Amino acid sequence: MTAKTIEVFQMQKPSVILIRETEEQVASSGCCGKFEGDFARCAGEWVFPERRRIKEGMGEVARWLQEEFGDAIELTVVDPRNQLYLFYKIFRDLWSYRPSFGAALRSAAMIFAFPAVLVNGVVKFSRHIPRREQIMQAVWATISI
Amino acid sequence: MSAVVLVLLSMALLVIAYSSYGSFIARRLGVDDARKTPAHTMYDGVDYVPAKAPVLLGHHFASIAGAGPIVGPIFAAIFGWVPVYFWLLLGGVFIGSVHDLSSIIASIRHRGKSIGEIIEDHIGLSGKKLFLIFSWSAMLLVIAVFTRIIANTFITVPATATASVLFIFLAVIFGFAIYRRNLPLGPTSLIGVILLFSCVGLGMRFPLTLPFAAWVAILMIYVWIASVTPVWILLQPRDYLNSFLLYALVAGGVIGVFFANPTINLAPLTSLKTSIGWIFPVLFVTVACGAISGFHSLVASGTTSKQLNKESDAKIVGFGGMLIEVLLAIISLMAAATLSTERFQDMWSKGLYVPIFSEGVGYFISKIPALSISHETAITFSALAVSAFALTTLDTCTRLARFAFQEFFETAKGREKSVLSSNRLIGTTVTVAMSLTFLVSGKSDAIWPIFGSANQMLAALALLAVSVWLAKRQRGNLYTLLPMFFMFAVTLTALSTLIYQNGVKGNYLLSVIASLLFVVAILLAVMAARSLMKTVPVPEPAGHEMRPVAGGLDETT
Repeated sequence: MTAKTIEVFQMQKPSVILIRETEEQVASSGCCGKFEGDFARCAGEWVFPERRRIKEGMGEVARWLQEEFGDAIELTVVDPRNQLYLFYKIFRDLWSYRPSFGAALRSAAMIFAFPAVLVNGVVKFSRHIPRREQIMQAVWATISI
Repeated sequence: MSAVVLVLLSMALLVIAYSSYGSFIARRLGVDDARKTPAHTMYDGVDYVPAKAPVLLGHHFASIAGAGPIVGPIFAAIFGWVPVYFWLLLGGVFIGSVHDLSSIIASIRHRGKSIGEIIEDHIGLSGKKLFLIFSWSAMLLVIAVFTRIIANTFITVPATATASVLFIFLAVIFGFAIYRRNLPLGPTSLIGVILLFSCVGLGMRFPLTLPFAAWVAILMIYVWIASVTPVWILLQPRDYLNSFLLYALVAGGVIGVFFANPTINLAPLTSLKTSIGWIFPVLFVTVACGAISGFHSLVASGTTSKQLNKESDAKIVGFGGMLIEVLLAIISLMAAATLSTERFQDMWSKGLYVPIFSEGVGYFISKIPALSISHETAITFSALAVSAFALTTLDTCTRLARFAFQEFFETAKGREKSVLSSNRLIGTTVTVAMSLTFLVSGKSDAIWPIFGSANQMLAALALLAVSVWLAKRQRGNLYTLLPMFFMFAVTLTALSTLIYQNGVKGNYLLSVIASLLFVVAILLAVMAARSLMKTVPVPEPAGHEMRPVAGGLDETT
């Protein structure tokens, strides 16, 4: 099955949410004291090196998905601190794809740690970055159903 | 006059401005959805990732909002509420929003490069060194002024002192749970938020009372420690918890003002000359973030431009994000203006800017029927929120200033290390010691305008970069050129006045720092203008793709 085939047969695109933090400070210090953009890397070093590594790892996952599925899936990359959008997106996916009650509860109560990957509203990977074959298998399995 | 009428009027004017002037500026900048953004052309899933407009707007607004747009309007309200109100609206629409939107567009047309990088690429190492001196000096002023503001807040609202101290410990525990124990996000966040609000209750039960000097000493020791500890211990988890506080404060303030329906008590215009100087230029440098802020260009062109899905999204994110900040600043002004004139002037003269805000906004929040909280609880919550923002500003600025200090002593080739560039303890100690010296050499009303001038000078430099870029593209640039001249006029007048005033009053240190900022800003402006203007004009390309060119700064068909 190719990405083109999915487009033809699937009325609704599979939704993949990649949850990872960006290597920056987000809220409340105002614009004049902030670690992001020019200041995300100061004196030649990343301010948030651990986050940067995770972000790069999840970036690789995003590229794999892009190569394999292109526009045939809806790929969303979101920071967990963007709570308003994250809540909305998870609930929308749960409403659209109607997974099992247990899986829905786990996602809705956000019983996962980041980094995490959700496919059609269901938590597939949590606390680690999936390998290429793992993520492909998870997405293809959803499409096959 | 009713504050609700003014808030509604502002909302209506801001919506009209967004749909008319915002669209006009977007057209003049040549916004075109057929042209792919760097998030697509340079997609890597890491830095360059297309994000939906609401996602990016939420992120951009959280990045620019903080203590600045809250404190600035209250500080300037000593002139009366009318000039501040009009400067917020006019400055926000015709200068601030244009500055933010054009910074995003300039950045995406330069392959997502930041304004800082664009300037640095053109003016080289000497320009960069000057920029580091400029940044370091500005941050020393931020540290000095916010330490004073927080210490004054803790003395006036002792419950906030306890709550803020508890909040710091809570953030450390939260960080350990999330980042080291890998506990689930939802339940941990819920417990974190419940405990966060419990800090307010505990603060009211066990208020912490200490003299000003003791608080200054504690805060200085705190920033020293916080700026050298790994970020995951405090900065990262507090950032997460702060986002809840920001949403709660903004929502509470905006909704609460409609339930409270307060009356404006402050005089419309007190005098054209007050204890902080003449209305021009002081008003325009003291109200920075709520009307225009140079640091926004760094945020807009730093992260936002790399995630823009399509060019037309820049209008809602850049222009719209700034207008929401204007609304936050207007709510802050209303909080001050609804106090009695005597109460406001008494608190203002003692430098109690955060307590002025928390008293006003606390009143708004306490009037929301669904919350059923007392005025005192709402005051403590508001003061905790702003103190948390100010504390965050304080320790991030100390860390940033330390980075600027270390980077200044690095050499260009191979980034060779010296003891001054590699030892973080030296950089931090020098930064904290200098800030403390500024703090004791002048009151907040002397330091804040110098900080504001530095901030606005950065805005003028960003507008200069954008104006020259537009001129090179043979595009009309009057809408960036006029604000640029205005901002240069404002900041240079303000700095020269501050040099004189502080010299006369015997605040020689503040006079020296104002002189340094003045000279560095002039040098930077001249260097930037000269090097940027060297390039031969190139007409705007009609194509949709960009490719790297020498210097990596141009677009082509």
